[in-house]
Amino acid sequence: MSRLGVSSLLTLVVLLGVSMLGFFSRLFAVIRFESIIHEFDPWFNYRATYQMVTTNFYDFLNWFDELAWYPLGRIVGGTVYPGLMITAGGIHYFLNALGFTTHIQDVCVFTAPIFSGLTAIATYFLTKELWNAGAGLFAAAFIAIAPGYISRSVAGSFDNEGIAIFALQCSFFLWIRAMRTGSMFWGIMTAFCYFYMVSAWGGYVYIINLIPLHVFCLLLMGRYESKLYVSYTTFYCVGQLMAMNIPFVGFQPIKTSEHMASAGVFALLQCYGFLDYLRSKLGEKEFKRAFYLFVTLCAGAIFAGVVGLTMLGVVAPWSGRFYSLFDTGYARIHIPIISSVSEHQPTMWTSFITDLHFLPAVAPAGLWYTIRNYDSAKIFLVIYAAFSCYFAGIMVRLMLTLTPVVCMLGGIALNVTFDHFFGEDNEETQVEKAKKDAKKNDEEEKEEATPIAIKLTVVMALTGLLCQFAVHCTYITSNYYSSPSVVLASSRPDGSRNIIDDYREAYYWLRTNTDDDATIMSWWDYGYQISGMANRTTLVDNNTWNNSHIAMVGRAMASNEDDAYDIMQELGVDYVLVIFGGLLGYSGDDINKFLWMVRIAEGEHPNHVKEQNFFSAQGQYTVDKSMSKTMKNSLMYKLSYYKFGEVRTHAQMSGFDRVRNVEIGHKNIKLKHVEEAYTTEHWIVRIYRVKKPSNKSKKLTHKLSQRKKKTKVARKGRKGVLSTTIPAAKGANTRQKASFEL
Amino acid sequence: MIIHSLLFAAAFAAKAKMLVVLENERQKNEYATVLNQLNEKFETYYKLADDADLHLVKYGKNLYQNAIIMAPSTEEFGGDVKTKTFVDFTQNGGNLMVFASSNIGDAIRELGAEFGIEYDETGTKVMSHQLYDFERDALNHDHSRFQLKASESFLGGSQPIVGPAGYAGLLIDNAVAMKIDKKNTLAFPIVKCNSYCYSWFPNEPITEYPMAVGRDITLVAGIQLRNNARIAFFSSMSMFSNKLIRQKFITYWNNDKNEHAREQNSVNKFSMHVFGWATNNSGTFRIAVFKHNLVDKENQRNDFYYINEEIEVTAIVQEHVEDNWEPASLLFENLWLDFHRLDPFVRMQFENQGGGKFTAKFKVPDTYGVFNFIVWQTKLGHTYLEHKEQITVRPPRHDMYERFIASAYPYYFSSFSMMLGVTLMSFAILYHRDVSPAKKNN
Repeated sequence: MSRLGVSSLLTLVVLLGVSMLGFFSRLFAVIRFESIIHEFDPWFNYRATYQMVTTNFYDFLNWFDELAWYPLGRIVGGTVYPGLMITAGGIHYFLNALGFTTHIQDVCVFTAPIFSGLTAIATYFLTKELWNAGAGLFAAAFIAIAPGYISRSVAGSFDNEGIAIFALQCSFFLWIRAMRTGSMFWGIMTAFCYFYMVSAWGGYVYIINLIPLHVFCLLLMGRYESKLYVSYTTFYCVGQLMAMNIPFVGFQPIKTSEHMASAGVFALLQCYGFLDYLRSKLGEKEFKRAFYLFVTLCAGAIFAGVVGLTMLGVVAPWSGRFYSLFDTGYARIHIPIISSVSEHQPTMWTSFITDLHFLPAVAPAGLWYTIRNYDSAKIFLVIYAAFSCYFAGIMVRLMLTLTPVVCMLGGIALNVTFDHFFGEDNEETQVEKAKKDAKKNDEEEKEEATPIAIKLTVVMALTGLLCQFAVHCTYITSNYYSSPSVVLASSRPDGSRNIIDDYREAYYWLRTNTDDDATIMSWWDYGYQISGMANRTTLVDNNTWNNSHIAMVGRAMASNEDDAYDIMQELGVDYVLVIFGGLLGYSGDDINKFLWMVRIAEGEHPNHVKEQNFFSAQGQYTVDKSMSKTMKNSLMYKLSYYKFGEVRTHAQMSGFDRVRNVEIGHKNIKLKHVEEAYTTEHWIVRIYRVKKPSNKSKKLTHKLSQRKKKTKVARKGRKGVLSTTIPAAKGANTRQKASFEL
Repeated sequence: MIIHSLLFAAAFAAKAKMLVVLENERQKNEYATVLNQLNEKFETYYKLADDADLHLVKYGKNLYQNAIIMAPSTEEFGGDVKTKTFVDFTQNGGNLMVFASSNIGDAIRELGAEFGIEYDETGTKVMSHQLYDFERDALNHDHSRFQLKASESFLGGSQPIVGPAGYAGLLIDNAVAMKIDKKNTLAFPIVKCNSYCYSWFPNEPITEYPMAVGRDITLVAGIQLRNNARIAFFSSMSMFSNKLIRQKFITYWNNDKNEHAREQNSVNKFSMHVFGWATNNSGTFRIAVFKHNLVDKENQRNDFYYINEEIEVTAIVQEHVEDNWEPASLLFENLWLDFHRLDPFVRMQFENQGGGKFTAKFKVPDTYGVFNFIVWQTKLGHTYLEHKEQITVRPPRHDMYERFIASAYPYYFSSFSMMLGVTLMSFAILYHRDVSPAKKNN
């Protein structure tokens, strides 16, 4: 009795410690820099939350954002996953109700770390449900500090993923609980958690495909039971009904291919259940063969039905984003805007080590144990692992869904190992399940008593590895994932830090020096930041819903100044903002992104923009002397390098671009329709004002130049010259006489 | 308080300032008729073109609202006045009238070039063999004083520049040919030559194609810059002299001396009109009031509209008359409105309510976004009327849709009937007991 008490107290303390660790290890950014919203998307989330907190929920739901996508505007309420805003707003309301007056910004900054702590707890419960409490504690500790998850949830990274992973783990835990107990209560709890996930992140599609897949696998394996029927049908019906209440999701659950798997499994489960019922009534042996045939036919009919409906256009086909998960080359060809995003690139193998350290190495062991001791619930873990691995290999950003499952598998592997080499023989309560499922195994183990020396070596090695893991995670978190990217830092030769605050400098300038309704054209990356920090209208932003509008901006940037001016006039642009890193060596600038602008523009305007024209004769993308004429005349090139030719950034030459490491090819850039309005300290942000059409038409030069012009410069107060007041005598004809006379 | 109101009154009564640049003092007498017209309407300042103290712009501000340059032979202006000064002057909104002549100097030529007007060479004159001064030019071949009929050379249409009044014609004298650059979209001819004219050195054989002939030759050109500053270029100065203003046309008919030819030269009236236009005293309008609201709900919200709402736009146009703004006259007939979001979704004409009031009623399109009310009217001789006002068109709020729609009643019925059915079924299952076999047997 007391032993149980001690172990549960210990579990509680460890869990609490782990979640606090998860919280605190995400605060590097706040301590290093300040309590500030990071990156790009969080700025919109923050702005939306601020809007919601300062008005009310219904105003937020009906909020029409006129600063975004000028002149189209954006209905925020209908195009956003509101879960994040509601969560942060709720915390803010709760704290203020208690009398802790906090600003919404601080709540937003700390939302992700708080939820990381909760994720650790949810992971504990999920792992405990699937394996045992020991593995759960390991998994919780791993997920709390694994860089793969921290990368998305440091303080200030106020993004959907921050709370979505918690919802993901939680719904999986509740699902396992529901299918194991077969209770409607847990089924509905799963649906509620699923609803929260739907409201928070577009990645909910992952849940609504993974759970049906689990059910389908169980059906295939003949592990159907009424518990499964009850839990899945309650979850599916209630969950989808609730999901449809999120305005952004709307009727998608019954209309799009992404959700058809869940609907198909639902229908299949009905058939299966019906036949199972019939079988139990009839109880005939011959029935068995007919039964499987019927089920296969049903499955085939459902599949054909879904495909048919898709072909007929009743059900929307897979969206490009979803499709690109299966065909990796698809996005690059058809939707350049998706593949232009760095987080949509395929994952490099090194990032598996960076993000997970030794876990990818031990996770297969955990998977192996899981498969060996499989039951209906553990199969879920196998499916979860398999799919996460696949997706993480395709997109960097989906590393996020791999991290929890790898942590869980790693936890299981370590738990089994420690049990074997460190565990006491009579500690049956903890490894009860594992032993039950692998009884034979256990007996063998008991027979071979492991020498203490080996035990010690293994345990010490593993402990060392775990220490290494903690050190690695802290290092990666502090050095790679804690930069707000709004504020940059570089280190001086003496080791002290140099803060580069050009972005905020520029946005503050915009906020204070431009008209309230000034429209700013920039590449879409900076849209959210401009509207969030500068409070000015933007043409395109990170909610890349309108490809043709983005292509129009890309075309303006890729055109020569005259054409660009026409486009900018049409779009009503007042200022153009470009990011330039050549002076400082900041590589994430617009010249490096320029080819994507060209590609996206080419996709919509193939007659005006051609990617080939931006390469030099040698087929290289360059800004030096060998660059093509189109490149040289493009607005982007001119705006980036305007006056840069006068700057010496290199011992030998002026106009040396420190990102591309070349001397720029065109130094004497003249601007015609735009003028420089502001350039920040390190030249990272350059803002140009679009001039109004000139008051008068162009000066007439062609005839004047033929005449001999007097180049006297009139000085102030000088007397003028009159030819004469008396009509001039008919003087010498200056015209050339022709060869004939009249 | 009294001083303040006095100052105010003084400012109110003050006439617009006009600088008159002359070549010499003698011209004050020679051009007294025209100059007196100006003296009446403006506070005039006389300066000579070569005056060392000639200034137009000081510290970035215009010293005068209008300037009239009656010094065609100027090679170089005195003071700090250069071609660029005139550009600055007009950029600041100053109006300019420039006179040329066949003895045109470089300064005037460059000034013309700056605004897209090209002059023929110094010494050339515009000549016509049709209606020239028969007595004066009987012996020589200088037909540079000739009559031009208004009907064939004046700017037509209803416009405030020369006005609609019946003119007989003009007596042109010693004019230098003027051509408007084709690329110059802001300039337009006010008086053109007829097809008998050409430009060449008088009494000299024509050895090559003249710079301009016939209707290519512009004699009076107008320019309205995008900031509504107005410029008038005259190719002849002496035609405005006292002597020629008084001249009758009779001698200029070659042989046919009928009654029609006895008409008075209309240069006096013409100059009054054109000077009036060029100094912003005619054809100057502004949109004094521009407001929009829901139809018949003037005091309700007008900072945004929902789609498909009926709205009403009111614009009040005023005209500049003798230093006052008054309701636009009937000359200002119509006004167009665009409701624009990348493309015009609505393009319609305002209804003229009289007294300069214009109203337009329309239904907001079924498309949300950031729209602009755009009035952009460029009518010849009128101020460019430009007004742009941004307005947001929103989709309806979530609670603005119809709550219960008739076509949904089957669905309401089905859901409620199902709830009822479930309840009844539950009762039936829970409280129904099969008749036991024993009882059955009984």
